[in-house]
Amino acid sequence: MLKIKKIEIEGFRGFTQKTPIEFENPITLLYGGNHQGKSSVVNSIEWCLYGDECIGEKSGIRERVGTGEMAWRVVNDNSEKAQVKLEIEGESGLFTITRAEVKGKGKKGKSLKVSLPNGIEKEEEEAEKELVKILRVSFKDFATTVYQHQEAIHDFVIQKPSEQSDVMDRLLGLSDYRNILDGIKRSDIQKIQKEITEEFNKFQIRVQEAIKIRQNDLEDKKSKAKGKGLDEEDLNENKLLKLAQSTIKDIDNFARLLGLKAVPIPALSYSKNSESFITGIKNECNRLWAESPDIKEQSEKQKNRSEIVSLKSKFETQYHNFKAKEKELNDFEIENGNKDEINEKIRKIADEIEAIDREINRISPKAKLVEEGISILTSAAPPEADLCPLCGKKVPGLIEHLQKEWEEIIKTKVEELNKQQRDLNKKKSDLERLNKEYIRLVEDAQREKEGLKKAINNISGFLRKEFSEKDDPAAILSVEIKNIDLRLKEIEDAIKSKRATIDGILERLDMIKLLYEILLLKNKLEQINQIQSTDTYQTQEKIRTDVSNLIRDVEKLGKIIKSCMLREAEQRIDLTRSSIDYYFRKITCNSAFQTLGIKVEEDKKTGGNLYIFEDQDGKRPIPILSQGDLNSLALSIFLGLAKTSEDSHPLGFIVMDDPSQSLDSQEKSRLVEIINEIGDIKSIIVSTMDSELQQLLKNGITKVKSIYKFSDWALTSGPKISKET
Amino acid sequence: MGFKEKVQDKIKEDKLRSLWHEICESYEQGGIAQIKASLDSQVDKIKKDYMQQLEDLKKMI
Repeated sequence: MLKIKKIEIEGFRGFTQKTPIEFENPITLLYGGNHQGKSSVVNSIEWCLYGDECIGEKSGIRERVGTGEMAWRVVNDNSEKAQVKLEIEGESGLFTITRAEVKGKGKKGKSLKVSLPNGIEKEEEEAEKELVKILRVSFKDFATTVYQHQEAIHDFVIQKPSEQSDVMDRLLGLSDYRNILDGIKRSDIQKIQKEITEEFNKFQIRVQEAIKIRQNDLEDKKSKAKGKGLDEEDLNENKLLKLAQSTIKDIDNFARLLGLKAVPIPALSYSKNSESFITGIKNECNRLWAESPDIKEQSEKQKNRSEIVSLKSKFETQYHNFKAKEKELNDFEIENGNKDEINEKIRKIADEIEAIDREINRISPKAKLVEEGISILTSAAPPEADLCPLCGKKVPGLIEHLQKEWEEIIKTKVEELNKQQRDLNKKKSDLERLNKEYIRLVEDAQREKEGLKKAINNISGFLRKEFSEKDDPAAILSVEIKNIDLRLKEIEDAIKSKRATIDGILERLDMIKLLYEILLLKNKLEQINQIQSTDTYQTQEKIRTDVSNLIRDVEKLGKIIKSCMLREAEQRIDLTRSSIDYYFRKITCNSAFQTLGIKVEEDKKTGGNLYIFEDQDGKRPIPILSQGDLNSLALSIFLGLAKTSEDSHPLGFIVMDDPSQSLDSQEKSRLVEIINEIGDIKSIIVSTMDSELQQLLKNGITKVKSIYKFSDWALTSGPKISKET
Repeated sequence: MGFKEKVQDKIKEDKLRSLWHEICESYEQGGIAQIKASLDSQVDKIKKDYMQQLEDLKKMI
């Protein structure tokens, strides 16, 4: 059996400086407070022997899972390189194992050297192989039978009873099975199978809907076809092609009838789209129709007729306007006379006005004189009031006489003349206005006459015919219209039969289109109904089967893994049952337990392992166990496994990291007794922060022991270690 | 005999043996997450192929 003799740690986790620790005695106690480097010592043994296997998820140790800042780092934060040198002694002599890792160098920075007792040195891959040969214990077994991790006990104590099977599996070294089952369980294969099935179901519904829609469409079209004279037996490709050929023939005949030549139309092919054929026929019908001589003449005649109707309308309007203006002028002349007569009246009135002016001018000096005399006499004093202002003679009653003359003769006469003059001026003004009105009427009549002349010229130009004054353009135009109408009627009769031919062709074209669509629908329905026999459908079916098979295989594999895990658990329990029972009862010393039975069976719910603990009466104690009892159970399983492998196990040492969690003083004392017993067969390394356990170990261990005290850990220098004897 | 061999001894079908081999390889490479990733990638590819086939079928209707 291999035993550890010495370890030299440098730059590993809590260590910075090179630190040697010797394990020359059966029991080695490492003690001190938290974060003083004790665990780094036991971790360094593990790392030196197993390298990266003890790091990360595959280690099965939860605290070592993580990346980046959360990673379990090998190299001390203040060191560039970690190196652990371990000396172990076997029957053949001393082996020296040196493992190192340079920070940040990846694989290149990792190295291993193994020195054999015969002096041969192995390096790197060869060294790894040699180490496997020397140890003969996998990391998983090491982690359960050699190195009791804090975490194993911690988990067992804090897990719910329903989750303790997981911890038990891990305590028994079945982490790989557990992890693999977990990885399979986490995969999305079931979810994806469900998605695939759902997609397929949706597709099936879509197929049914498509069939239904197309069937309805087909029935509808068949009914229309029947209305067009196509029976069920006509709904085939031959009929379609025959209809297409006869349509092309009809187009040719029609073109000949019109004296034209038909443009070649691409033949209808069932495998191709019908659009080019249908569009070709339609376009040709339109072209032949447009180029037909009758249609051309009809179009021309209609255009002429429209022009003549417009000319006639314009002429009639112009004629009417002219006549209206002429009548207006005549009526004016009858009422007011012509231009000369009006001018004569104006001249006479002007003479009369002039005569009145002269009379007023004649009266005016006398009137002025009388007016001044009255004014002078009215303002004179009484004796002078009778004196004549002209001759200075006294004329009695002169003022009265003058006033009477003014009132009765002069004033009346002047007023009358003024009135006559005003009346004459008004008459004159009215006549001048009439004169202007007359001029306007003459101009209007002249303008309308010009317009009429232009309208007649337009008609003459259009008809290419000279008109004499005796001709009535409107009547001539009416005759023209009548003649055109007669010709149009003849043309209309002639094209009616041609239109019927075209309509017949277009109707047949509708029939062709309908028949084509029916055949397409029938074909599509047939295609959908036969979808299951297509390669694509077969492939998708195969894929679904493949997924089901994969799931079935994964399930089968899961069952096999679980059965292997169960079998291995049973074997380990069988081997260790009595030891576990012994250690558990020894540590707990609980009188309630005369025996502690353990059995493992398949969990009917999960298919995993179900561990059942029973007392001597077959009762299950787990629910009533204290945390100390649970810790004792976890320790008992570890010690049981360690004890059981005593003969076959190549490693002659065990490592216990903080084993006294939740144990009371009595239980700690009994644990020390057990450690003392195991010291007979294996050397033991115990790391603890528990000062009570430390004292108990110091005093209770009867074997030779080494005691290392860890204290004053510092960032740059690591722990201070003092050895006690 | 490790867990790998123990399970392998129990497997009778070649297909299952191959699947077990793949799972073990994934586990050794990247643990639990790698097993999930490996199975998911297999089934993702199948799903992708399947959806393509289904799309082709949809075009037929």
